[in-house]
Amino acid sequence: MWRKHRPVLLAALFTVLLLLLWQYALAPAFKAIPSPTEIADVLREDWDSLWADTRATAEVALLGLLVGSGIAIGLALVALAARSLESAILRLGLALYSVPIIVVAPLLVLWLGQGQKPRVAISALAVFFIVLVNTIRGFRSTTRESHELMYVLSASRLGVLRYLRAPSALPYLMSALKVAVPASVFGAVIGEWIGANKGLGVVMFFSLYQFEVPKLWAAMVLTTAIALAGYALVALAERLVMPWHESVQTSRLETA
Amino acid sequence: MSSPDPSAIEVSGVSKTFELPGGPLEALAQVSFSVEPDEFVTIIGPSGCGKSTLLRILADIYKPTSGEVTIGGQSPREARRRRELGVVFQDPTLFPWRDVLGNVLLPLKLAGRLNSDTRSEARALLELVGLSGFEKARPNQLSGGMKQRVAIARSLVLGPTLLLLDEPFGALDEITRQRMNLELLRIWSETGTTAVLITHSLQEAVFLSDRILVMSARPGRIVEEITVDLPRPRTPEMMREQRFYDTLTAVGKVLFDSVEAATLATAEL
Repeated sequence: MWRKHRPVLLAALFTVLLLLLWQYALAPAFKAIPSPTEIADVLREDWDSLWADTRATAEVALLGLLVGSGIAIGLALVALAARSLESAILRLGLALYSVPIIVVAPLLVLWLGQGQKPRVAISALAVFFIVLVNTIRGFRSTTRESHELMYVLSASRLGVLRYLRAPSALPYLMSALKVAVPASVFGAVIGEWIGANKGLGVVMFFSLYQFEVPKLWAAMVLTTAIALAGYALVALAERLVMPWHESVQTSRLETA
Repeated sequence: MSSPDPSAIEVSGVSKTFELPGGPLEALAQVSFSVEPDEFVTIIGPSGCGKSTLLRILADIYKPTSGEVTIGGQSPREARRRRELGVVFQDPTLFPWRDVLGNVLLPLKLAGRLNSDTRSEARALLELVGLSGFEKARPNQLSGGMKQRVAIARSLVLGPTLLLLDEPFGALDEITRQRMNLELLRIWSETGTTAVLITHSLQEAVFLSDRILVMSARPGRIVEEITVDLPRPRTPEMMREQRFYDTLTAVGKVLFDSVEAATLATAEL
């Protein structure tokens, strides 16, 4: 029992210790740090409105993740089809990614209006390059012999993509998505700071200016929860779509 | 003119030079030989003698710089396009995301020939290579020998007339290798294809082949052709016969003489 569940039990024990420390040592000492019970009170009292905000942020993040990854995968396919375009695409991606999001965000609001669109665009921007780099690398992670095999089998370019390159890229894509999920939530929150009427970013913004510190922390907890839930979903999807991969198999061994 | 048998190979005056950043590398120089239908021919030589290059020319992966190759009267390209070539590489090159049967079915899928008949043929092939019951296994659950059996089944699934084997058992231990050689002979005799094997193992060459082509290194050329005078079917007991040793010695002598000559030639430079 102890051996089997040791990692989980240790993590739980550590969390409880941390919460106790926070509640009885940290929170009383610093004014800007509310205690866990205060945060829990806010979560309980304002649950209906906070839940609506959480859903709004999660929706923007999800759409941003889908749009950003979709464009990235599309461009990776273009780079694969026309190798000469690869470095141009990567440079463009890097240039876009290097512009601080906080600078682009107001521009996007100017261009795309006040609705959900600019927020989705900001979230997509935060995700796009991570997925682009890894997908391109994944497409290229094939061995010479496997290409020789496909050549001897007279596979078409589409056949090579479908049966060799795409499955080879899958582990890279899944790793990228694990990093991209928190990035998409970050992008969504930044977007909501710039201008929105709903969402955890809005909650943070207003509670900061009205000095409702426990509410600010509640929004932080919920933001983190969205990112963690997204990460868990990607990890689950990873197990479903690539049960053959070593990373999945070793993690199975570890939990067995 | 009668049409030539589709499995006969004719190689005449084939040279191959690679343009490398450090200058041209002459891998093959004026290689000529022929392979009869249903014959088992082994090409043996020291490492770096261009034997894998030669096999890749037969498989249409490389084009010769000069010279001509025909397989059953057609170019390697036509033979490949007609899916008459089965190739086994030193690395099994199985796709880890497909199970064993899925890997064997891949050539059928790519050729648009996957149906219930060919599917059961693929299962029969897995049985032929001794892997029935492993259809659903993942490649990374298999041993090296088993992986190479899957690769052999995959190379046979389109019913090729020519089987090209590039040191298929080079990475296996000696015991597994011996067993795989016996299996290969059994499979080859049951499928009736022409086979060209690349190896650097003398024993393997003598035990498997009708004829052995010995290559020398840099540039690769064929220095000797030795016919193996052992009856078929071959049995492990034959490996203890005098005839086996005599052939082994003959091949070894040519091989090591050529290596020595090459070493001397290099030393003189």
